[in-house]
Amino acid sequence: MPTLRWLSNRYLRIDPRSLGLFRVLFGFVLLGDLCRRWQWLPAFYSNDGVLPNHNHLFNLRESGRVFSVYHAFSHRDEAFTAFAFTWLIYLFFTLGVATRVFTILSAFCLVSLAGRNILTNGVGDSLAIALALFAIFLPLGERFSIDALRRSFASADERDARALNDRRVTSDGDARGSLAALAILLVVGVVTLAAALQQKGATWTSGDALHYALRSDRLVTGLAQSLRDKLPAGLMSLWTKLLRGAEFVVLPLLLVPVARRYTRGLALVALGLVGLTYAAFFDLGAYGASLLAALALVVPTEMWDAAKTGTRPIRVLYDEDCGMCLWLARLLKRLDRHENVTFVGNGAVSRGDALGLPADVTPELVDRTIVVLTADGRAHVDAGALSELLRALPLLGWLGLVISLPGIRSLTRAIYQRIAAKRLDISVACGLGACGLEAPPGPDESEPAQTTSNEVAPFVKLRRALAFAVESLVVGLLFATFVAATEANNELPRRTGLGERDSLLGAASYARLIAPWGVFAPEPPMKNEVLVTVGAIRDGAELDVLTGEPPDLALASPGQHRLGPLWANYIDALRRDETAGFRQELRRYLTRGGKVADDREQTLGVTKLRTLLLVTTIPAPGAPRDTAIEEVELLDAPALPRQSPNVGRGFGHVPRLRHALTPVQ
Amino acid sequence: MESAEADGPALERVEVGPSGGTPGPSFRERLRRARRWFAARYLVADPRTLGLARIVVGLLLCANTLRHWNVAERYYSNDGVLSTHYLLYRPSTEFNFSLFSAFATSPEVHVAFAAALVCHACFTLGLSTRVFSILSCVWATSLDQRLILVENGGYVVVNLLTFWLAFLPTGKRFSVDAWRRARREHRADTVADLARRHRPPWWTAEHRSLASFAIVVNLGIVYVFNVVNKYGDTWRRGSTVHYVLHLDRMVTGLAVALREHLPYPAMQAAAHLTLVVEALLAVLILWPSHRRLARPLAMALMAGLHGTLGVLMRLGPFSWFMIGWSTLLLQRTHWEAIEASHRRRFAVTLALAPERPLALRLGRLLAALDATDSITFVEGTPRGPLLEARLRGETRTGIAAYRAALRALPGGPIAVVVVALLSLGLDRAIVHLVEAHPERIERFFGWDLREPPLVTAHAGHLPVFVTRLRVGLRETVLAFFLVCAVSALIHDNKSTAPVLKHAQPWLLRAALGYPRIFQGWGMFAPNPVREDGVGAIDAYTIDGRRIDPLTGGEPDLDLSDARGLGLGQIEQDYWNRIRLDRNRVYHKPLGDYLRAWHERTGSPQDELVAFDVWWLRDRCPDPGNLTPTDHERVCLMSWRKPGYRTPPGTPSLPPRCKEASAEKKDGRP
Repeated sequence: MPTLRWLSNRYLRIDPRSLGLFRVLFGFVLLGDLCRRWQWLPAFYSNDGVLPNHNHLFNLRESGRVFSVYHAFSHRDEAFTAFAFTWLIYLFFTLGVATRVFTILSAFCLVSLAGRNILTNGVGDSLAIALALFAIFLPLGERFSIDALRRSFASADERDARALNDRRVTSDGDARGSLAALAILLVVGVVTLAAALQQKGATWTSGDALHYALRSDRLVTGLAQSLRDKLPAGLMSLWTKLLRGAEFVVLPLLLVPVARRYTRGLALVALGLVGLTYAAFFDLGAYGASLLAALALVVPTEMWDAAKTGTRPIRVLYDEDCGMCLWLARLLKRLDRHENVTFVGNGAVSRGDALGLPADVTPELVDRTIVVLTADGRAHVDAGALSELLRALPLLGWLGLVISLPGIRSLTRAIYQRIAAKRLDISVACGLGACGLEAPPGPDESEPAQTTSNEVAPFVKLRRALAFAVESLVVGLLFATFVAATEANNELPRRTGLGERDSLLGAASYARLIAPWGVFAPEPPMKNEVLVTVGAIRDGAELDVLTGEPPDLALASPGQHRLGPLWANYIDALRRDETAGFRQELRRYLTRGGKVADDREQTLGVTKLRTLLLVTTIPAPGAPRDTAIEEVELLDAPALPRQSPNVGRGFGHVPRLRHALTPVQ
Repeated sequence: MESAEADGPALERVEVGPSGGTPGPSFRERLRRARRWFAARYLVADPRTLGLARIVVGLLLCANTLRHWNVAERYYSNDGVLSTHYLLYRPSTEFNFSLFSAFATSPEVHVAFAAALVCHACFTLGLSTRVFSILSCVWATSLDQRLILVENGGYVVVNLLTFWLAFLPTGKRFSVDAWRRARREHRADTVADLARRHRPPWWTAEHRSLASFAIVVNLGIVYVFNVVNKYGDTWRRGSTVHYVLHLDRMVTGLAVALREHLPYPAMQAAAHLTLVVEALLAVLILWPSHRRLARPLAMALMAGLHGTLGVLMRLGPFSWFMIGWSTLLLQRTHWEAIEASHRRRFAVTLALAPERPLALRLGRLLAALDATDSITFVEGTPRGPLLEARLRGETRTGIAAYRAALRALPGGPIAVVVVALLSLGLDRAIVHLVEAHPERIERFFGWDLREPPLVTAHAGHLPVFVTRLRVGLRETVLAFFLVCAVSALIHDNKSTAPVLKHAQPWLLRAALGYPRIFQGWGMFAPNPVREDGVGAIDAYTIDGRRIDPLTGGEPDLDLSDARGLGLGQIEQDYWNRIRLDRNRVYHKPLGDYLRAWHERTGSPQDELVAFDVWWLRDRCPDPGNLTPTDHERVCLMSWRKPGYRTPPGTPSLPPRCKEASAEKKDGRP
């Protein structure tokens, strides 16, 4: 049993603080991902765009295995409403409101967004979906959440300084073990390892891979475009090798059960390098950002505990008669995880209790304003007190420093004084009471707050065991699905055979867990390929209907060709033979005026349209730039030849399972 | 507007009478009194009424979902007569939104129905009531939107009822939410605590909102327009019931028996009585005074009228949801009378073993379920039985005590039978076991451990202005929908004055169109249809058989000998609508459905090589006759497999029938 517990503690538990931080970071990733999609809402998620819902469902009618609730929303306004609801769901997930419910809803929305237009699916979608699905089984709302705050408020009703200074009730509960904890870490490790295993081309070995990858304009960020010509070749080569090396070591480091403070530290560095590289320099959807969010999961309890240094003890003198002040003190107590704050009611000052206060701290002063006493014996009031208070709290110290800046300090003081003057009115308006709140009639203070024994009833044990068994079964099936999809869509040296199981592949298809982990594998694109539309509008002028700018046929403005991962994936998918029928809707969309018409909310009246893929060869490191530009008409060719077998392996094509698409009729 | 709960005590009864000789109240005072008079009569709803309505409507929604689930593959999936992608390609309405549109294949549609059923069940139980109330409304309207071809007034009633209920606090009573809230606020730690019977004020505080007004007045309006719109000659002559009972596509077997044996004068009387009852219902529902008598009378009349309709006609959800709607007519005074009556009949004193945690738990459960205060708790004898019932001077123990306790609860007599059935008749043995070994049960559940103290933390209420803002927003939205409802009443009813008719702006049309909360009320108005009809398919399989794929048997193309067609509401309404010219666009998916018939049966020999889709119709017999007249067939669609030749020696296929409109018979669409 001790061995089992030891293993369970290392593999089946993630620190609640890590989970809470992951929720916040991943919530931001989801919100950012939604904003990116929102920019192209009419194009990809409404019937005005490149794939109306009926056309999508018609094409999927035989193969099925794709579900999206967004199929129910046809018009642009309906899709807008759906996105607004999705935004709220992601926001509540980020804030940790009804966390389990909103985690499930967030995963549902993410899967649905990917399912609404499968031609736009990429590696970012798959990774985000995998993380979201396993996150459902983890207690993400235990820390840094509104739920945790509400639970804490409900579990103790402090009414005076003594209760506020009793920190026993707000201690962390021990998180329950779950297979999902192991599974989600394995997902992160497997994804990076699978990428490294498939990046076996010559450019990865020679260290030139990033040189090529960073010159593929449709896949990179503005930062990459501005830096790629300034970075020395040696640094680029080192970076490439470090990146691949980091991808290799993440999984082994995550699985080491001992010296976790150091092994996990290394894993953080490795995963951070991978995540930061893909997030900052490449536009692969949520891929890089999801890896960065997953960094939080890697932080072990030992590192959190080690971070509890740098105490900054303060005493806070607050107004006992003000309901709002008491409520804020209760909130402060819950934010004060380092237990730096000691609360003193103003009544104690008025009564003349021996508090060892400086002479300038008078009863009149503490009735008028909050007073914070720092360890050096100085008393701070108004904005200064707020600044000191925030600096004593974990994660909010920076805000305290900001408040102490000249100008901001004066502004804060003015606002504080206005609120302080009306604090009793505000308290009444908020239903918090004011003036002489009664002493707590709560539990006998001579007893410990928690009076129940540690004995667990057989019924509770049975219930927990059953819940664990059921959850483990579901997580196990989900992980098997993940493995099956990974095997089916990646070239891996060893296979379990799960990738041959149709039922698991079907489940993966429904979840849009396509798992194209081979980013830039085996080689990054050797040719830079961008989409340019040339639309002749009524007055004879020519316009790129996706950007609203004059068509850049000379590739003079690389920034103009960054249309984002949705378009990159969509165009790559459209090159395949079996998706030829989808081009008709693209033509219709562009002829109507594309994004320019979307923004103006009226048809542009394009009289003549050319949809060109401009292809240039990326020069080798140190070689002169090849100025020849090949123009390929995207819509006229019945089925365009693949640019090269290497292009976008893993993310440049529509990742598909066996039944993903059938020929369009 | 705010809830009565927030206002404090319930609104007092205010009588506005003529002022006497003394100086009368000021105009402002009169206005205030008028507002209070109006609010007390039309803006309040008792939480018990809302709780009961939730349960009844929730159960009806579950039943309605199951009814549709039964035909899900044929009517709601891609394997059916109207695929999802085709509906989205050619939506029936300007404002088409259905969650079912996201579910395409048959397995997916089954998941959708299961999800809908779970939502309705949670709504019925009162679990996260507000959330599931809204979800129930969305699923109900989605079901309607997925196949508008089969929509009738009943579907609109479902939409309206669930829509208005979503604005009301239906979970305040008789719900899991209410039970949880009460448990959170107060916990009886001893039998003496139980005896004091904590009754939170929100149990009986009336809710004040425009939604209360809307939901009751809308019900009255249904009858107002049902009467006003029935100005046709059949209603005047009293022949409506006769004609209606001869609509074979709609009637049940009971109606067939009735039409064959009921004398015509009796049918005339029934027709006139229907009009009188509907007129009376409008008055009884909307009348502001004597509601203690008027409302129960209206409920009884509605149950009678719609119950009769429900057993004679296949109208889908209409009759049953109207009866469900009538539960909202109950008022506080009725509940007080019901509770007093229940107490008189079933009051019981329960003695609980004071030292047994199990007895305390049992007492808490009974107290939570005892909505009528029929149970009095007292401390029993130490080391005595867990539960002892004292009833009319007689002391009962064992199973008799438990049955007495159960009987004292609302619906108790039924619960006694249900418990006996569920326990497979072992209830006596179970009780004996529990009484013999309470300590083992307590140990198993951990009830022998000390309970942690109940913390009723003061986490801070919502600020008053936030509450006001929330209520204000809700009432503003309701006011908007009331305006929409009034506009729809004018727009959708033929009998409203033409001068009032107006063009509805987009926002208003969208607000009415998405949830499909229309207000056109005129069942069998101004006259009932006299044309009866049904769809039939005359198809040939590849092995030469002649069949109707929908029935699996030989095609029956003669309607005149029908004695009720035994069709469900969905099927008969589908055929009645698909024949219309405006729905010709949906013939294609019907054809696709028929052409893929052998794929569903799994037999290649069932492949259809030709089919003709017919609308069979006749005229209902005139009074005094039983045999329909003018029977004819109208070809809706005809198809022959391209390139197919019948094998030598077998009869050749008949030529394609000529497609025609099936709309003209009665001279009106």
